[in-house]
Amino acid sequence: MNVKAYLKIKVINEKGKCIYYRRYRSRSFVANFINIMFAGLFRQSVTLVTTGGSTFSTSGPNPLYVLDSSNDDNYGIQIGTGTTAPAITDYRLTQLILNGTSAGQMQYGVVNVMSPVINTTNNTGYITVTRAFTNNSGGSITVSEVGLVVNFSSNNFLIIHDLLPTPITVPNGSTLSIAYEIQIAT
Amino acid sequence: MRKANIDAYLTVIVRDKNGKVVYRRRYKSRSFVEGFLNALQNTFTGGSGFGSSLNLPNLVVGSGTTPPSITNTGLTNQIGNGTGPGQLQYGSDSGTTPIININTNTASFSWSKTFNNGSGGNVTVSEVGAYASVITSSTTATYFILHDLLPSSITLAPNQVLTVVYTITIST
Repeated sequence: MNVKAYLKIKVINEKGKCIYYRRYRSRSFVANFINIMFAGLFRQSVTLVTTGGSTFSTSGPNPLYVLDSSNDDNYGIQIGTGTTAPAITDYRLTQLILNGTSAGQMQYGVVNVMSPVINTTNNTGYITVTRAFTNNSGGSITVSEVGLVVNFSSNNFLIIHDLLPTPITVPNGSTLSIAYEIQIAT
Repeated sequence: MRKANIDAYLTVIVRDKNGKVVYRRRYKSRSFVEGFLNALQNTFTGGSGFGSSLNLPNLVVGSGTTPPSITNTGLTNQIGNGTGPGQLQYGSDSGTTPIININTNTASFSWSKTFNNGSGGNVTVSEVGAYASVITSSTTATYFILHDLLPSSITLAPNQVLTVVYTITIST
């Protein structure tokens, strides 16, 4: 095995009770990721596509900054309602759920990145990127896609896009927690 | 649907002094190590203005035969650069532009380096690894990110050239 990514999904209701938990294999790093890695390593020009759909030329190195603040939906972990299967050229979620409390919106929490956890017994390790989304929209919201977006040079770039095998309906007052766990084994 | 997220493949090629390929093998690389996660964490959290992705690539070869461990911070026994006994002349790291295949939803790039045996004697290579750095506004942190033990050691005769290629792939 080389590098695997997992997606952990949890819903906590307004009483603090966990009402849903799933762990999926994340499947979909997209082209921006490999282009950013390449440009960084070799300082050669590549063309990325921003979440806004415009092209961005860079010869790196560029960060993969994900630590977005709360109440901001521009980068970090994003969620959406799209159901289109991810493609390698994807540059944004199909249908982003916006930050807010209006109908169909959720309140984005802060993004956290945990320090690597290393298991020397089985030679494995992982890091985790997390974010919580609270539904105060007044109605249920169904989430069907998840992505990870990085920020640099005042632009945002999608690097992972996953379609959930089963959409999740988040009741009003509940909080959806998403964790991307990126794992290696030696 | 494919299960891979990020895969690495290791190709080793030996050419004689006339440039003829005398040995070629392609392996599945198995061993991203702890430094890769540390580097990734650094790039995720280093800041949008000054943090950087992996850069300053440095492929290395060695003669160690100890199986890689996740906590490795270098090769077991790195072969030095030079023309002295047991040494190899290190070339430059280079990369090929990513290939994006929209039909198979895959993408890859290759990272390679040559090692010339100008030592006058045989030199045996049994392990391969890679370093990369993350530069912040004030520091450069260098990480050992990959360590592979070759299934079969390679003995380079005088004037033979070893080319090591890591191919990094993703699929969607």
